[in-house]
Amino acid sequence: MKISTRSYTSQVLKHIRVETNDPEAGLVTLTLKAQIVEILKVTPRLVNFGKMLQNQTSVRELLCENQGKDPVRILSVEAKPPALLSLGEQEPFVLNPGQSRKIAMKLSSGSSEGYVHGYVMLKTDLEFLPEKVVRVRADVKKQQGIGQ
Amino acid sequence: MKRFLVSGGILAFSVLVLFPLTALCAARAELQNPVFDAGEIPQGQDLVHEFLLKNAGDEPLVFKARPC
Repeated sequence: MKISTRSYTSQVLKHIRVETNDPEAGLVTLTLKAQIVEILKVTPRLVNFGKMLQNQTSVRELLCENQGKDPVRILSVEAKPPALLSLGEQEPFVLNPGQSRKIAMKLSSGSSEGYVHGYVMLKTDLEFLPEKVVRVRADVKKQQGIGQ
Repeated sequence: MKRFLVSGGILAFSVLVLFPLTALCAARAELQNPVFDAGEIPQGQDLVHEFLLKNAGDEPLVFKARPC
């Protein structure tokens, strides 16, 4: 059995049901569990700017925390699409154990109406987690449509 | 009466001889550790484990695994 733990932040608990032709055992249940240690914690995991007017900008912050026992090197921070999303900081940095850092991100809603999506990608030197992605979204409304 | 005795004999033979033989010839699934706890692992590392399912019976073991 193989389970990817990329999307887990606490406990993994999986059961597999095995049906057999053994008249006594019949059904066997296999259980696989583990406690996931989120070394680099980035919050929020999803950034929802909510309802925004057209051609408006809004700023939110991401908090990056090193919950591990060794330094974590953030090799790059990238926001896409760059026309919508920009970052206050893009330079590499190191987070020592217990250290945290805030990264500001600015969303420009643009002139189109509807949902806009983007993401921030942090590339790390962590062996098992070379990149961490935070999804970003907003609902862009017409100027005159708000408050009516 | 004779027919009754023959029928009874066949039934007794089936119950006493054939049924136990059928029960003996069966697959038997043996699983030593159905639960595996990997302990603490870093996020991103795959959780991998092999469960050993042994057939201790004398008929082929047929099985189908599915997540629940």
